[in-house]
Amino acid sequence: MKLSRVLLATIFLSCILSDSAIASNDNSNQVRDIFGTVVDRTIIAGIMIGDNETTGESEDCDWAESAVRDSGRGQTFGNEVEKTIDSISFRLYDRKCSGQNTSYHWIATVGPETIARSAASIAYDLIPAPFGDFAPPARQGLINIGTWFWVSAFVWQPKSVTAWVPSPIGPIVVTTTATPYKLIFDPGDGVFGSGKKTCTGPGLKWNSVIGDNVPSPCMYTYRHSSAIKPNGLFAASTSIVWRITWRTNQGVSGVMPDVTTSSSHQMRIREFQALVTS
Amino acid sequence: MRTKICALRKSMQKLFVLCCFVIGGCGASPRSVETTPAVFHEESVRPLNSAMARQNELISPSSAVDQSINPFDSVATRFNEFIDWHKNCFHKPKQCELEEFITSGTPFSDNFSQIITRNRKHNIYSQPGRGERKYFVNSISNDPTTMTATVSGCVYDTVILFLDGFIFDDKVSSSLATWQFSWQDNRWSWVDFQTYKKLYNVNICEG
Repeated sequence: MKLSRVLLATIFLSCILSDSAIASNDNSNQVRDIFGTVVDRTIIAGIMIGDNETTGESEDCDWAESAVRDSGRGQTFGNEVEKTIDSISFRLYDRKCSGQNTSYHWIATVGPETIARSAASIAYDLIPAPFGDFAPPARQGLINIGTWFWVSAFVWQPKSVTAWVPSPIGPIVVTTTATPYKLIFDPGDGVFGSGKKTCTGPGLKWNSVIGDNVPSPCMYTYRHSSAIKPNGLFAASTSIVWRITWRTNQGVSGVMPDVTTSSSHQMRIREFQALVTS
Repeated sequence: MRTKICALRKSMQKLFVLCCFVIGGCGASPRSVETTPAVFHEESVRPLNSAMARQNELISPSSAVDQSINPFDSVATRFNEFIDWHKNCFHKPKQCELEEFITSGTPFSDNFSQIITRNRKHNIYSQPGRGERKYFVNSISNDPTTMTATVSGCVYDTVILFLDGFIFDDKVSSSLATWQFSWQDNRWSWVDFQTYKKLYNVNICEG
């Protein structure tokens, strides 16, 4: 019976740990604005999503506003070219591509800023979680020795999404770009430490050639052991602040609120005691 | 003696069932989608993918569990029904019976109801053969304490929505997602849907 209980406890524990790991990953993928609110990601129908920094549309295709027509089938639909749905106006367009039948599309009648917001909503999903690296490793930290932190160069890359709509004067193409510009490390040692450390790049990746005495612009020095915590760990986090900008093919540009992505880390910081003899 | 044996057998059965719940719940990470080629296809007729088959094998060994007292046995079947229901709600929004899968009054259900209500009002619908939603189930986790089941996987969506017969939304997307179901009134109701990564113009569900 005892064995059963131990077995059950082990399985439950492993399941709880497994689930919390998944939850942590999922939460880390949420995008928040600078006020900590999860960013709305509504994508409006009738806005096209491009390919990299182009519309992705073939040059053989032309878009033109549809003329008022009759469906000819005695039906109520087919004779309107403008609609308003959820306060957004839509206009019917003909899309003619060489060698293909004409197709008809409802296009949102929106300005560049709204298109930019849709593109940003998509760009947020391209932003990777900022899993931090540490030297010494997170579970092997030491007091009074600078802990280097950094994120991989792969993470520290701008992410762009292009969205567009046809218009009577040609397509309005908006490219929204998320650019990382601040790396923030919250050491989790509260009143025992000196607060969050911010640097303006991805940090330097440490390697053994660098040695232990070289400082990094992205470095934090713990002054207290994490043994003071009930679980023996400081709940730390790394965050990247992303600047969101957009520009149109007509030279208009703008800035949207920064967003932050974070990941959490459990830091074990120990005291290292040595006996120095002369 | 016989009572003891029966009690022991019952406790072993309970232990086995409990282990199965837990093992089923501790499935692989939802992100490792590529490791499970299980595919749900809207147009297919009740396919049973390997993940669900595995869950059924684990949770409901016919000799050990009475179907009538183990709601988790029906999660896979219910998810299949959900896929059909979801497809039909977008195909024929006016015939969509919302209460078939959602319970009104929660933010999630109200949000979904609004979409269907909008589609009814403005004649927005999908058409058979014009795109599809392909479901890739990675794992199903069950929580007997809260009587919830969570399906984790990926959905590749090429469905074209039409408004009054013309294309309203033809975006192609793929999403890593979870669908959560809650046991209410002797059936599984859809109570939450979360996407963790959604990309357009690519299929992250396959390969």
